[in-house]
Amino acid sequence: MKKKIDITAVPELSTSVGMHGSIKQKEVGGPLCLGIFVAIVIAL
Amino acid sequence: MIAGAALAAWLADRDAQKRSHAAVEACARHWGRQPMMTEIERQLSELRVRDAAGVLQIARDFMAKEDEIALLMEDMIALSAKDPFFRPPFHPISSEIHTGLLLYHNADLSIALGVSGVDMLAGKKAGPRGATSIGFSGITTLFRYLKAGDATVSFWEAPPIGDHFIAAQAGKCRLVERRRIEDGEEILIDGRYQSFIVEHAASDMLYFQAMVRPGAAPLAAEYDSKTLSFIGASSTDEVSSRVQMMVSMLRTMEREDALPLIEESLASPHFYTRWHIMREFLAMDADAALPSLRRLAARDPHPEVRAAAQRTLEMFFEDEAEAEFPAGDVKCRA
Repeated sequence: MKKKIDITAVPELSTSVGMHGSIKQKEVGGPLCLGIFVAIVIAL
Repeated sequence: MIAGAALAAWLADRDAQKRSHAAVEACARHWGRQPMMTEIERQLSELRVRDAAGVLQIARDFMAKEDEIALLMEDMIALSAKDPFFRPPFHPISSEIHTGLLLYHNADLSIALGVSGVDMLAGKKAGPRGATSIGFSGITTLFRYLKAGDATVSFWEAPPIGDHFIAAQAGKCRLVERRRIEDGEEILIDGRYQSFIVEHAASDMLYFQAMVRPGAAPLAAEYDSKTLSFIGASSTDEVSSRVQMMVSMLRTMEREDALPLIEESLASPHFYTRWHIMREFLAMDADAALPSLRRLAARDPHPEVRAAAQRTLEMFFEDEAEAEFPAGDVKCRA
């Protein structure tokens, strides 16, 4: 029988990197279609 | 949105729908044959070295064709006036503070023409506001402001995002300068360490935006606008994100016949993808994954991947860990 490890028990990296486009940049509205996004924020 | 009687009439009239669609297709064909579009395709295909500098120059050449782009816009405005159901044959892009059209897109370069409406900016600024952030896209982006809207912009820098990025060492971003921008001004942002914020605008901002992907950082970073500290990262590589999702799906589906492909995908240039795949690999067949796990523990170029792999060996392959890293060796713990 194959040895399987519970994936939740496998260590994760300290540097967590979300999927492409997963960060919803606040104020901008998040990454747009086809990877285009405007890296601007309207500051207070 | 076109609602009411006009929409009902159009939906009920198949010929009217066909005419609208035909106009869109004719517009796409016409502009697809224009030198403005054929030239950029030719330049990109003939590029000997696909680096950021070469692609950037092609983007500049395209943006310089203002007269041709103005004709394109006039044509689409005329077609829209003639038929309210005409849709420009370019992908629309929009957010709360801007709207635009994707004029060109391929794997190396995307060029959009957009407008940030002053009312959109004011609405956003006046509305309910939570935490704000400053994004570093990881990608070289060229902005050319045809109309700068008398905007005041602040420029920011952060420690460069490299292939071996470590969140704990991301530091803080810092304000470099704050100034007004002028009509016709070009702003080049190396998203690996630069960003900017539009703080105020007096009128609409009309601009080209070109995203140049060769040489991009593996991830985009986000910093809190109050503390200026790093708060999160996301991949800049759509392909590797799709691979991650597919590998997770294959594991969920228990597709063990895909193990050779999964093992192959461990060659990803991105550290976060390599470790994501390794975790899935271990969950599918730990024995089959062991040689690759050993390799990551010993030789992966990213210190966190090496440390996580070494810790995994200790946790689940005690004998292996002892053989690979005999007592007394200094181990970097994740």
